[in-house]
Amino acid sequence: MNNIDNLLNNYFDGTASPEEENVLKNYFRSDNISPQHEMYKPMFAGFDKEKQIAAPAFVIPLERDKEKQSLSRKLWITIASTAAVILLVITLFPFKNQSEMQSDDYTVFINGKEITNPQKAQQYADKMFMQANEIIRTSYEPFVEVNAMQTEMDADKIFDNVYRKINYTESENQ
Amino acid sequence: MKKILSILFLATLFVAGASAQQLEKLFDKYMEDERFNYIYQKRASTMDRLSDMKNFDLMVLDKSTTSLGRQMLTLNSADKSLDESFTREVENALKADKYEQVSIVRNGKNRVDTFEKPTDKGIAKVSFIKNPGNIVITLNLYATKK
Repeated sequence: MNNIDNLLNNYFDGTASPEEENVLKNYFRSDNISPQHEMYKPMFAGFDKEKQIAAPAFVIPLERDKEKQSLSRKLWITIASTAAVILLVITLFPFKNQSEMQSDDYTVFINGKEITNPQKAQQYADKMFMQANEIIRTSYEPFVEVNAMQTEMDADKIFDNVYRKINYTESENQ
Repeated sequence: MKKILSILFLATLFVAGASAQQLEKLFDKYMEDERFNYIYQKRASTMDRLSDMKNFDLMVLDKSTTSLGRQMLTLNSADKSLDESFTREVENALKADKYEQVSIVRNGKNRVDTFEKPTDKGIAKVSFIKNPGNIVITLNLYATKK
């Protein structure tokens, strides 16, 4: 267990080697996680999940259609493809790069120990804020469902529909 | 008489100023405590705020405000008495800072309370999440865009 603690210390200080990081990742993937390390499990699980995000495949137009494509259609596809790529980059990669990030942008203490590596601190902070917001979002789901039901059960809307149906039936009869 | 009144006025201002920061004092108090995890982000970018809000129906990104930073304090503890005393401290700090309760959501043993209060620059929003063995408090400060 001391070994894992040492590796975690190195990891959060940003001095862990790739081999040491792999040891940690394998440890947190396993079912033998010590209770005092449980709090780090979501973070490492999160890193695995991020790696699994795959870019959707672009649909390439059929060969026989190529000749028929007008210039505007080609232009539209180029613009759409560029927009999709930009959107993917924005979604999959963090906005801030290393040079933009200030060392005092994030302050993180885990169990009283400060995370001095800015990247690790950012990763941990982002993950934790995301988790907290996910809890809040989940807790509000019943409200969203009720709102949707209320919208569907809008009396004015229902009466309006019935009124329209009656009018339509009457006009058909005449 | 004027002097007494002005001293009283200044004292009131001082007390009001001091009590307005109770929650932030609580963050300072526990940030280096080994039983807690603490996070401070200088300024949440629009992207951070967007990525945090997956449900746009409920949490529409308010473009009229800009982030002035956010903090989070987490207590992972199986000690019930510590949970209770920390909860009381948070509640007292929220009361002293005159936060207004915006919502309470209870789901079994889980509970999420949200609070808000206007500040000099805009608005302060607090989320207080209580799960068995886990307490999270977040403070988001926003400035109103002019």
